[in-house]
Amino acid sequence: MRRTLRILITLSAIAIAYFAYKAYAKEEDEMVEKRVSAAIAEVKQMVRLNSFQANEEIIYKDTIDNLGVVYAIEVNIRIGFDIDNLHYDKRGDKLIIEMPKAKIEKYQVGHERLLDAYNTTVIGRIGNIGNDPTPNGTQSMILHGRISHYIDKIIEERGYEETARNIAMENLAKLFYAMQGNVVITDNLDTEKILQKPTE
Amino acid sequence: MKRIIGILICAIIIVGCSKEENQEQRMLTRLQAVNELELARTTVSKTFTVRDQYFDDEETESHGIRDVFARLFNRIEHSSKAGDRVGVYGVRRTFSAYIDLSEMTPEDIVIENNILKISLPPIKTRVLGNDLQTELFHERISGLRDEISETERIKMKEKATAEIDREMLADNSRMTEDMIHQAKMRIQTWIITLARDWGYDPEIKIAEQ
Repeated sequence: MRRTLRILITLSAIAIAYFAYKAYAKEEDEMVEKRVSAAIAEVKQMVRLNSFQANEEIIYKDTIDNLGVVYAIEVNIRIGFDIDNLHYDKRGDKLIIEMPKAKIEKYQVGHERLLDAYNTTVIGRIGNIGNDPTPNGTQSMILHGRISHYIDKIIEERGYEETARNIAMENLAKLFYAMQGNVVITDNLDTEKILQKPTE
Repeated sequence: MKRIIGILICAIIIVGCSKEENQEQRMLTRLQAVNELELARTTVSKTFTVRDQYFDDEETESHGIRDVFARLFNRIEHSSKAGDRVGVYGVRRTFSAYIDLSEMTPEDIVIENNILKISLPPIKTRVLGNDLQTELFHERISGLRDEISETERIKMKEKATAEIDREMLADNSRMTEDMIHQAKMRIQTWIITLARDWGYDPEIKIAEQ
């Protein structure tokens, strides 16, 4: 009888310990989840704001048929980030957040200005004397389409996306450094190219 | 007995105050360690052209009788010249808005009833000097026209640079105001996040430049 009672008490103690541990672990998990959501919300708040904008007068030089053209196009560019697709990973007590993809907003101000038009078949000093050619309607339409692609190319070439990304990442790295939690912002979760914490 | 209670209350108040002071000092050190924080950047580029005045006239509307005569003269002058003379160049300037948190002093952080009152230094702007070179996009000289001289290019570049500076550095510059507004929003979000992480509700004041 006594033995049975002892076994029962032991089993009860084990059960209590197990449930206590489960409750503690659940609370811990909830706290981690809370911290993760808070950090994610913070990143979203920060990257939601534009860190880079440009007001550019882009020069576009092209040839269509035998006509050489030079246009000036005024473009406003703003670079934000796609906060709806934020990837992160929990590694031990460390939360690693991947900087989201850039979202480029660009809009052309007014029409493109034709700065020069010339016949490409006669070049050098003897070319285009007493003649000011201009593109016709069809040519203008084709060129207009090409200009749009060219603007994208220029934004890429000038590294504006990278500049915006660097500013946003530096802001976040310094923020997480000043915070209590162990949060790291990275450029790519897979390659784990983690931005170093700033040194004091 | 009353004396002991009095001493105890004083001790609690002193300990409480010094704890807050320590906390304020710790926060200040953390913020000062951040140093400069670049918050926003704006790039402005302008093109400048060397060509007959006639082409510029074609793109704008005339104003007044004197302008009509000037345009007529420009048209005759352009038609009488054998050949073309066109140069297209570009100049770019980048402006940055930043805050220097190392300028913060102990008076800038006060904790009162779980509210963290932070006075931030002003948002400053500066020109980043990495893109002052002139870009040559296009040059075409034909007929008997003169080559475009270096003096002309320099003159036009100065004009374009002055135009950018006027647009960005003027008191009511829309682009600069926009950049500073973005920078203020960013630093406010930054501080709010930090204050909440430290367990306080923030009250932020940003000094005007």
